[in-house]
Amino acid sequence: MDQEKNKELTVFWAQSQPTIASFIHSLVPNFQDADDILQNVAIITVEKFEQFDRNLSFTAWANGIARNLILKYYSQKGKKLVILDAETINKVAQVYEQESRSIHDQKESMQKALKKCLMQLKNKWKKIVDMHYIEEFSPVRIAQQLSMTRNNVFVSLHRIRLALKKCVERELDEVYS
Amino acid sequence: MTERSEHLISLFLLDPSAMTEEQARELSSWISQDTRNTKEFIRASLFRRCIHDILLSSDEGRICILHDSMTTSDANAESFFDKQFWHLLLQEEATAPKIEIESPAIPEHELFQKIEPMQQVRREKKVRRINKKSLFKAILSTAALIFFVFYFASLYNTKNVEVATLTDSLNAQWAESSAPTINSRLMTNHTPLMLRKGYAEIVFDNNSKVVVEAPAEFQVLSYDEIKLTYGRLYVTVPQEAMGFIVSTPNSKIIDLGTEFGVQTDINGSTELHVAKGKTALVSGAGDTKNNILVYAGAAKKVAYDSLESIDIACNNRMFARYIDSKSRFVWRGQNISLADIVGGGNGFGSGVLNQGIEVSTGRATFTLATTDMHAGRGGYVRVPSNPYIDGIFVPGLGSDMTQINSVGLQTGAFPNTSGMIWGYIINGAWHHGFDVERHNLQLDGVTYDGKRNPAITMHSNLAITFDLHALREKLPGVSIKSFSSTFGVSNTVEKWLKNRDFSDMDQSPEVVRLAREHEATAEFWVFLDGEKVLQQKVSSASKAGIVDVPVDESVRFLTLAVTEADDTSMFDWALFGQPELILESSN
Repeated sequence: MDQEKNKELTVFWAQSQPTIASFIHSLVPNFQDADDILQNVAIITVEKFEQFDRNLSFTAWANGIARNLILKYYSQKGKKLVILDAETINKVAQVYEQESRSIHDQKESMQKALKKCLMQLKNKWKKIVDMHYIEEFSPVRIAQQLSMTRNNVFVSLHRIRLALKKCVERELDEVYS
Repeated sequence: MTERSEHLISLFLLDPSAMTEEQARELSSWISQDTRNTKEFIRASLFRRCIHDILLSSDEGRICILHDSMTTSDANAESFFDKQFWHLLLQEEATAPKIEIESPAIPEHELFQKIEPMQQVRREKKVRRINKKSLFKAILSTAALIFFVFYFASLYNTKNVEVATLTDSLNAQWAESSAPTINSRLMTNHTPLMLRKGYAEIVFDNNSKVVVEAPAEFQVLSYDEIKLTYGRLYVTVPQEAMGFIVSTPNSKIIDLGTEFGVQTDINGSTELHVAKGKTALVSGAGDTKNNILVYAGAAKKVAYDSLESIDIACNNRMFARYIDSKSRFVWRGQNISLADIVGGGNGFGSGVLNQGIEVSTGRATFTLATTDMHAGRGGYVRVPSNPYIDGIFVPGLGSDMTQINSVGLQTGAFPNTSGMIWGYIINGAWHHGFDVERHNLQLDGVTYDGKRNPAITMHSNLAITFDLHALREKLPGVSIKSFSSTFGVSNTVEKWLKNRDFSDMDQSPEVVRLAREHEATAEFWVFLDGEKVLQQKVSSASKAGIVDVPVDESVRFLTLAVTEADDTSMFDWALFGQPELILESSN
């Protein structure tokens, strides 16, 4: 690809990358797998950029590539992982296409509030949050490390997620009220 | 949103391997049945990803999670997490009922046996990490340097410390979540910065300077390392900061006292263009990594799907090397064209072709007052309309001494001349006489059209002095290294001389010679602050001359002059071809 086209693609990518990443993140819970899919979307957009119709939205085009890779990802996982069906993935893609701007804005404000809420987490939960969100341990592995049951780990993570969600909603209410 | 749907979403996000087919179907159905549900699902997914990103990208977040809460949040009486809520949660955790999670696919006792210490089971990132230690061993074989680098790396890398400053930006537009301002301090492990438009200059505390050009995503990793996810950046590293590293998705570039540009495509392919000194390029990973040295003037590319680097053409104009928001100047390594300045420009292409300086007034002009030769005016003429041109003059006219700059410096180097001139000093290279049709001038068979081959046309007995300090003031980040140009009398003279009838002219020895030999000769001069650095006669039939002289930082005035030789001033269609001030970064 010549330098001009490369520059054009990079500009498109810089504008669309957050939306594409969010779309993948919402359908692929495994952090590393989601990052790998995003990287593969980048590779394919470079390879196929000649075919991109400039009259269409680059974000929609790249999200289409991402959707196909997600479907492929789940089909390769096969029986090891029960996942959402193709219709659901398409539905999520469709909503993304229509609402990408507002979703992105929500994510921006959510991040700020979330930082504040995370600061207030208590000791007991810090360990589990650390193991799940930073070390990326599964609930099974966390249970083994902390001598808990898998069920209890799941319940803790579930509750922490909901507690943080409530906290963020409260923070955002304060901001906008 | 129902408790049931929250549970299903948690299962999908937190422990998908425990999800039954029925639960997956139920969740799919719930997401698809209503757009509001789809949005709730998206929000929940992104919420979880945000937790991950915040904790992983910033030590600020990580520390607040891992740090002993007795010194932080417990002390905060207004903590939103109600103590009672957490007490209940603690109790519930111990007695929590099962919530439809199937047994793990692998029996628990087997997993227990596979447990490894926490440090050992940390997941390896797929991004290739290259061992800095082994690299320096291989390349530099200097144990002391390794120790030095690792000592400081260990000191800084593990902490969230300020290591660089955003010193300037031009038309910069950042992604909403990360918008540093000028003089912002940048920290290690800060969230990646996404520059959507414009330019940014970052100076690390070891004085390494990085200019980033949008669109780009990058991250300051340590006091001597920056990660470029995609985009372009140019690095200038002073000698004392040798070892500065640019990491890309598939390579590492280690400075060995140099200047270089790096471009990373969004698919991870990396290009390295070395402008000065040398660098080490490390591609690949683990045992298969490749280390090579890349020297000034060379460029390499590592494709995203390859471990090998390949040779590519080095592009010295590809990267923004220096920016100045005050003058809105972006320097890409180009030199200053003196022809462009004669055309009223800044030396970088803003001048107007065929514009020049009228010799008697010093004013800008586009047109010939006359196609005939005429007598030039004595004295030094200032050029107030152009800050980079100090003045113009007719050398050797009427006196043994000729003033050559505005501070009154005189030189006796010039011989006495007739003072006869033609036209004006032109950004371009052409001649038009009463019996000569307008045409572009040539040196060594090369036509100087003024665009691809810029030139200054200066007929004999004309001179111009440039003010280099005025240029330096506009370019604080770069310095003038030298002046270079070709010079000579146009090869086209012969054709027109052959057809000229001199019979009605005074048959002086000079005219006779001109008519007989069909070539015109002029004498070319270059002065730096009045000191002569070039004096050379060149004829229209001989090869063009070349001048390339170093210019000290203290030199203020550069003077170019052309005088007639011993064959009259007629047909002295002289030019300086591609007259440039060669620049280099001030570092």
